[in-house]
Amino acid sequence: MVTLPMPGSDIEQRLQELGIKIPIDPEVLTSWRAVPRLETLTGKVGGFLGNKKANAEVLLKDVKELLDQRFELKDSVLVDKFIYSRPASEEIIDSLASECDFVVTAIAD
Amino acid sequence: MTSRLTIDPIELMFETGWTDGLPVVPPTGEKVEEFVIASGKDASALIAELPPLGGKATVERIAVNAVMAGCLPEYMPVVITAIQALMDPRFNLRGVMCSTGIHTPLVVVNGPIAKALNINSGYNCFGQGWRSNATIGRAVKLILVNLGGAVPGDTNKATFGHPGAYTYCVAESEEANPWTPYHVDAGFQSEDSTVMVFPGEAPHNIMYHAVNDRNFLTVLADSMCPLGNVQMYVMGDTLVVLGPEHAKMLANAGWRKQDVKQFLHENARKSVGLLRKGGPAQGDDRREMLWPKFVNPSNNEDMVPVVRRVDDIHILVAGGAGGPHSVYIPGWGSRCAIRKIETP
Repeated sequence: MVTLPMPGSDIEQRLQELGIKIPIDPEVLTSWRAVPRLETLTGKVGGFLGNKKANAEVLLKDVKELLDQRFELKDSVLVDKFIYSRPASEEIIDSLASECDFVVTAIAD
Repeated sequence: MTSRLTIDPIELMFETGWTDGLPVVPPTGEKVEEFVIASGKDASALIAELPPLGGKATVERIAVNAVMAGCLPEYMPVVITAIQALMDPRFNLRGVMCSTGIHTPLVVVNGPIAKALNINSGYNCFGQGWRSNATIGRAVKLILVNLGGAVPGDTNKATFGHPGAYTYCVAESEEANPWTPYHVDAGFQSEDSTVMVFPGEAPHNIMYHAVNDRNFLTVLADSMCPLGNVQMYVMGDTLVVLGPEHAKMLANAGWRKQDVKQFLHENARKSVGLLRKGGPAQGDDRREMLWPKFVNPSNNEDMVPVVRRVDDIHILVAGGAGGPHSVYIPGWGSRCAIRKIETP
């Protein structure tokens, strides 16, 4: 993660003294955070997004089965994007967002 | 007490974590302002929101990184154009920068600006020794990490990376090119200057010392389609850089650039049966959808080209005279992108 020096730190002080400009976008440091965690997975709808690598499919199927056994998922959606070197389509993302309470993805090279 | 490391501005920059592991030029306000002026744009103008983290690459922030890279102010239009080109969705910058693969953007400059800025297209053009090549390429990479957030081991999961991740910039040798320059083929005027970006592995040298044009192309085609080349499975664009000697040999024998592409597309092929042994295709029949329609994926004897279409093979001419070498640069499965440089 790119970072900023701690406020009041020796580094920040020296940067200011030397008139050195910052090469990063400070907003990035606060704009990404995890969404609130679900209290439980029991009875939730899980999405499982694969990247079309053979091992991703294996891993995601196993994870789905484990979660099913442990939390009795209400339902699950298994979907693959077109290929790992392209982004998942808007349709896939929108459908996972509207149908699922949580999504698991894996690259599994 | 001030630590030893923070006394020296260069060491101070190391402590911030904003370098690529090499010393950088401390980007003081005065220097940065000079670079912004040279860009001909407002400091606050937004050029891109760079993946993976969406950092806003304003002209001023691009200038800060360009100063750090050791650029001259007049390089700014090239750096800015490269960043704009990288945002073409078909390039898939997020994927290129976050993949476990080895690829990293290569910047290729065409047109009069290459000469004006002394961007090397000759001897050792992928190597060291030219400030413009070294620092334009480096500025782009610093921007992708510092503003895009593609930090190695964090969001950038490249298993190995390659030296081009420090800097990867070259010009096409339009004098040594016996055909039309790359950017003219792409629809620009010869007097235009352009930046093309390509998601490239490191250059792989193709040595051919004899003077048989067809044999040379056979050697080149064979070098483009090993089973470990990711393109055999995901297609996309691929890049050949012909050395001046090889380009001249082909042109003298009557080959047009399009003929060369056609030959490579017809001969840089592996059989379905062999590709079944390759990692990406193994156990996944759906991979076949990426191969061209003329390939029957059920027939082990059918031959799969390195890329789907003839024009997915991109050809440049560069390198020093007198050496019987060319290079092949495998891509990542996405597309290259080209953009005209607007100078102030």
